[in-house]
Amino acid sequence: MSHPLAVGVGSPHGDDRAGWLVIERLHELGVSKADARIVQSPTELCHLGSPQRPLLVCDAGRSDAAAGIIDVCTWPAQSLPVCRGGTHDVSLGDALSLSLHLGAIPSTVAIWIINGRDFRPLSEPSRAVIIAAAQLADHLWSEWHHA
Amino acid sequence: MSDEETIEVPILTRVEGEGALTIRLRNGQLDDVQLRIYEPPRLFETLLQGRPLEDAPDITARICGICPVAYQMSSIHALENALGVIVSPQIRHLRRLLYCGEWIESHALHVHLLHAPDFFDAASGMELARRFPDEMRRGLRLKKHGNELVAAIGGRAIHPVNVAVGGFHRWPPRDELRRLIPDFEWGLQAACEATRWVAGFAYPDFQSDAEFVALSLTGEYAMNEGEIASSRHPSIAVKEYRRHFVERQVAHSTALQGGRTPDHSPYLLGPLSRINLNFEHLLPQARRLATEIGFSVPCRNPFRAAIARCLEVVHAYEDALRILLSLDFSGPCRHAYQPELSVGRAATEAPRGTLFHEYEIDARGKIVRAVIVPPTSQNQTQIEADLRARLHQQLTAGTLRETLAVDAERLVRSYDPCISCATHFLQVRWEDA
Repeated sequence: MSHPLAVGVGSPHGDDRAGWLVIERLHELGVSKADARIVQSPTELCHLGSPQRPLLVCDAGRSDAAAGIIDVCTWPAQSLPVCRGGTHDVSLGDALSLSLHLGAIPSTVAIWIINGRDFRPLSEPSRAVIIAAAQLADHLWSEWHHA
Repeated sequence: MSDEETIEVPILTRVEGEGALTIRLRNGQLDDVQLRIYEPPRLFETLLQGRPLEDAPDITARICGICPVAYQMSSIHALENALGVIVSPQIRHLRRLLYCGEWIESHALHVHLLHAPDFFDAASGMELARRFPDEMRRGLRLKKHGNELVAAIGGRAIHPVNVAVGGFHRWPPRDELRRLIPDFEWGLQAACEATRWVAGFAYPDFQSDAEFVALSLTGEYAMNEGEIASSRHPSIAVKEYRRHFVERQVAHSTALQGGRTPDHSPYLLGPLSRINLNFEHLLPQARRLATEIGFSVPCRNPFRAAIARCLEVVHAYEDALRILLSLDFSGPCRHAYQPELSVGRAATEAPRGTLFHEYEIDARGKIVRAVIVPPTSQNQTQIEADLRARLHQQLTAGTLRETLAVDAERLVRSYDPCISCATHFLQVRWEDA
């Protein structure tokens, strides 16, 4: 396995698309759709991952930081960035805990959060988020290819 | 001097929404029990006034993230009743398929993550997942199927957007629906296995004297239409609903409480009532499975609603497969209509029970008045009645105080209350100075 399974969580609503944009950029860079997945609900992690394969999750967040600012943490050693509100039926933290108990994900997961500002239904993502998502995807791609 | 004692469950866990429970004892005997709903009212009925009738399905869907389809189905059927629209069999089948998706996702979620932990003294679904990973993984997969079916028809899994008064905005992509068939064939068998697992739980011994109420339809397990049937009274037409069932405000709850006229007597809605009243209309695998696991009707133990929920999941898979295997999108996906001053009513079977909507519309197609009576607000009175009976039973048996609260909370959870649904209303009293 050359690189982790990458999962982008989100929806088609404005900056909530951030995680999907990262994955779409990875697809453009040549990562297969089996290795970089787009999901709407973090509970999908229960069905996608495996304990043997490294996992990274990209999601949108809403905090006091400016749109496009990227946070990263290693779950569960580091707690997830604090976000105001959420669009998931089950929170990312709960979904990760559940998936870990079900033996569906490895014991540590890299979480990348792109801060957004505009989450209006069906709106376009902001330019700052589009740029940040592309930069993050390029960074991940480069990391995997220089590892 | 009397000896008073209050047992508080300040936050009911593993229910949709926010509520609490207060148990008051006097001289060791039950004095009062209150299901306290403190979630703030959410204004939906007032919000609809003056808006185009076409807004109702999508606005009312926002009442609940678990059962948005139920709100869409009740609202469109009530509005079509007002407009005199009769939809084609193709539209009717697709609506039933959509509802199957919601029943599957809602029931699978409740059974596995919210209710099952109670039978293993587990604090949460997370803890249960550690002990029963295969069963929980299976349950989550069932939920996922339900979500995928709703998304394939409705455009998205939560708050779907394709439902319209008169039909659907468009026929869903046939290939996307057909692609679900192998998963649903697996899911039907997995749902049977889940039912066998749930049937093996150790259920507390408790019998409710509830009146069971649910929609009932000749030749079919009712979802989108039917008469309102009862275990005690003759069936009534949906248009008569408000003559027989009313809501009232009580001081301890922000949700209105339902009761039957004239004395506000409690009644029970939901899977247990549906299965008790409509058992013969379950599809063959669900009915055979009920016999295999020894589930007979009438079942009066509310804790065993978990089994009824599972059997309804099996039924919903069978029904969904039947429709998926014979998709017919011939004819228009939406019927035209001409608004006129009128009133329409409909009730459909939400996962938690009968959901009634009534709309008055004007000649321009604007909503003049909306009445929405969700199942949880109707069930509250019965939940409190059952809590009283259960607590009395346990106090007589000398049950420890700390056990009383835990058991009472579990009883509340067995009804799968959706508190957020129940607090959708706003009663405004205008006072002129």
